[in-house]
Amino acid sequence: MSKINEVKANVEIGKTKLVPGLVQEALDEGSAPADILQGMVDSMGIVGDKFSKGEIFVPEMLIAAKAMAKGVDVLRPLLAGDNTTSLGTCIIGTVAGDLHDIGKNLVSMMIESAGFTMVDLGVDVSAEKFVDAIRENESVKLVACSGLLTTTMPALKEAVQTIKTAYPELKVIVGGAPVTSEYAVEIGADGFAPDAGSAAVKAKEMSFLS
Amino acid sequence: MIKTFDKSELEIRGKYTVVDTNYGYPDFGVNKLSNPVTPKENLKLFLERKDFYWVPNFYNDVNIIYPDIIPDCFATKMEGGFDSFGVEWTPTHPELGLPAFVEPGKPTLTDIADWKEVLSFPDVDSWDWEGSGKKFKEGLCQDRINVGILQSGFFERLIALMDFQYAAMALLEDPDSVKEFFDKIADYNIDVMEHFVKYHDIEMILIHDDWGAQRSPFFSHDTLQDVIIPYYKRMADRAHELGLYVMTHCCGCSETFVPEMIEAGSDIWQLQLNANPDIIKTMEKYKDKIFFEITEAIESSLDLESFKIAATEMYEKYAVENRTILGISDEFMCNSPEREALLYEISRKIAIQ
Repeated sequence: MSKINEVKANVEIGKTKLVPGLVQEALDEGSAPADILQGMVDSMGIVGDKFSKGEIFVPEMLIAAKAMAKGVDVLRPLLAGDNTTSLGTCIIGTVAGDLHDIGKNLVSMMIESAGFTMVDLGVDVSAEKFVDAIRENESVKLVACSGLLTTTMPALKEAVQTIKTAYPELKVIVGGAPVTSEYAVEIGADGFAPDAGSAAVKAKEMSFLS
Repeated sequence: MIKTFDKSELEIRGKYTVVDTNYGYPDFGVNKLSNPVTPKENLKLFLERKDFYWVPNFYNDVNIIYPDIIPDCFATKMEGGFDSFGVEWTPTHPELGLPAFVEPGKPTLTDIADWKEVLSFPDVDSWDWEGSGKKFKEGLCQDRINVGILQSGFFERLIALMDFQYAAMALLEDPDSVKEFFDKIADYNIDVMEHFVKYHDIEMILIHDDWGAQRSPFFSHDTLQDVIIPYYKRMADRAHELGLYVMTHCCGCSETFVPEMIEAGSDIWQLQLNANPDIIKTMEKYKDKIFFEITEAIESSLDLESFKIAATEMYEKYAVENRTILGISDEFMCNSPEREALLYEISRKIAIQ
């Protein structure tokens, strides 16, 4: 097995302690940092897919993302200034009035693992704050809005519509327990994802459309 | 022979009261009707799989024992506070009826291996059980079963202490430490349960531990079996020794875990209806081994006739064949006297059909 394949296999099963060393070995063998990174992104794609199919669960997905993050730490100094490895910036947050962060954090982790630079605005984020963040950050390709309560679904609609009014070309995806694909269409979002694994796939799809 | 429903049963003979609060919610007031047997007798008949008079209703037919002396109970109400392990619960939107929660990003424990150094277990004996027991006994009508609430079971306790992400990862990264911690948590929960029995005369223990998100379980069967079930079972076994019924409150998509609940000794699963799409099949499969408890809302805007149709559908769908305790309320968790009477009448007819 090539070293990059070993990295990929160990990211997939969340071997946090092993991955940094394997990444270093792959570098020592002459693999390009961008190729190693792509290998880990591919692994996380498999992890996301397995999660969406119900083959693995949140803990497995979290330790895989953690293992990848440890691997990225080794690569970071070598990737500094290399913008070709990022799919762009994704702004993420839970909408106004909603303090739930678990689902949003999982989605953030998976979208980051897919190759985006994440700007996490946290919870209880107003529509204006999303717009401010888009203005203040470079290369924003995507905004991901989360809403976990039926009572905050109007805030989700407000966030999407405010963002789309200010930046009509920017892609916005939504998700959260009460959100459906029909509701996403109704409020003018560009995409919907039912879980963190699908969110990463949807984010990539959207970035190619923007 | 169970006698058929008679309109005279709807005669109101007073109101049930709540002591401290029921999970922090206001006391909406439940009418005492002129039932042929007491709600306690009826619920016991139901749980013993004997002929019962009406489909029990968890909103109306039990006394919730959620005493302020237990920091876990006090802190998790609307206004927040510090729980039994010193974790601060922060108010969210009390005006919307939403309970307090632990502010994310400030975990008490980031490595489960450190639990012995970081955590102080509460001195359960030091709480004013005698005063609390006296207050509840004086304030509550004893014709309903007293249900003691254990607010955080195992995984929920871990989440409160570690934040969700660290807690979830700990299950796989350091299962030995998690198991050692859960063993000690089982001791704590049993201690609280024994005090509930001694001072509050409870006959049912309701253990909160959510194992699922809206669309999928939090973890695998292997994880559940490995790190939670042995300790849950020890707790449930002790509850049964004390003569208690065990109700498992497990929100989220967790119907695939029903076999584990049964194995752990749960008598009743309190479930979240909209997160378990195959619940009818699940009920069919396991109805002889575990009871189900559902509380659902029907909008207050419906007129009485539409409400009757919707409520009857729910009873016919979920509460036939002695398998489900069913409570229906409006979106504010209360009912008008007219709705209450209608629900009772429907539940009587369903029970004896």
